[in-house]
Amino acid sequence: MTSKGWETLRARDVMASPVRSVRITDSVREAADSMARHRVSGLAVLDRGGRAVGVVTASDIVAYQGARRPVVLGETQYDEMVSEAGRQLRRGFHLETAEDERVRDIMTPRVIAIAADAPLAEVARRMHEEGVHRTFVEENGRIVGIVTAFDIARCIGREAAVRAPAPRRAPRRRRKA
Amino acid sequence: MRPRREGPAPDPARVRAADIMSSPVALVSEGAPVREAAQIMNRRKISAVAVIDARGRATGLLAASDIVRFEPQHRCRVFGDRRGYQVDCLGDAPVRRVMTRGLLTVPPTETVGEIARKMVENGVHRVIVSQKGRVVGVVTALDLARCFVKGPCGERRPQRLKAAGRR
Repeated sequence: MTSKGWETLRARDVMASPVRSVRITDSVREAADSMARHRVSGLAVLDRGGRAVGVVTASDIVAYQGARRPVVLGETQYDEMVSEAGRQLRRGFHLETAEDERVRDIMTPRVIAIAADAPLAEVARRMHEEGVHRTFVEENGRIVGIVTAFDIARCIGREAAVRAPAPRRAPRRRRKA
Repeated sequence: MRPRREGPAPDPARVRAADIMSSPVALVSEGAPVREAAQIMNRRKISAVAVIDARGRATGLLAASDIVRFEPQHRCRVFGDRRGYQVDCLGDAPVRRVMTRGLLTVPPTETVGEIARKMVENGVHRVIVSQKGRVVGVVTALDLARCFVKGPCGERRPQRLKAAGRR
């Protein structure tokens, strides 16, 4: 595979598999936990039947963080705050918030998928058009993997490393289209 | 969908950082609350911001994935006594506690092939483009992927280099 130019690669050659996923009813915190554990920035969202119904990304979780109401200790919310704080203090100082929110509330309910034999350029084009960093790979109607923009960078980088020792020798592409 | 042929693939040794980078780079200060950074990312539809110290020097990045990594370990803590209570949630935490310190930088003249190689070597999804110690742009993995779509990469008019590191 190292010897292949990136333009001959297909989605299945570079995809990661299996796809990490969460259930639609999982909490935001469980999704964050899974992303952190697997070191990925996006997860497939599955319904009860195990079907992919969307995607949840690190950016979705951040959007949720950004939208969360700041806790103001001013006079207006003070009473409310104190009673809530008192309740939490009795329960052991914890105020769980990301536990209450569900993946379903923050996910993107859309599955962008590409055929396993699609050329890498096609995958890149799809990402560009949709403005997304990842697309699922499907085969026979099943999600079998995921390709991220980073995977494409990896192919370009690998190729650059292969070419680097003799960049001037046999330039394969001369003309600019 | 039928794959569209768009002429020969661009050569990763020919296109440079300045041709494909986004500029200016969103900045947030180390002491700002994470919530503020999150709001900037939301508003601008980006997945990271550069972090600057009190003197305006870029010291690292805060990416969506940093926030997510922090989220599971973080509990909102309520502490206080009869005189008052304070709540410490992730959104209230200062950026410096969550950010990744250090920047992977490249000059505006760096080739796309080299950028890709550096990204992969360092396991990062974006590099900062800097010129004379100033942050002038950012190149993400998506920019690299994009660059193989729109005909020759770098056909896009190079943006003017704007210094965003200091003002």
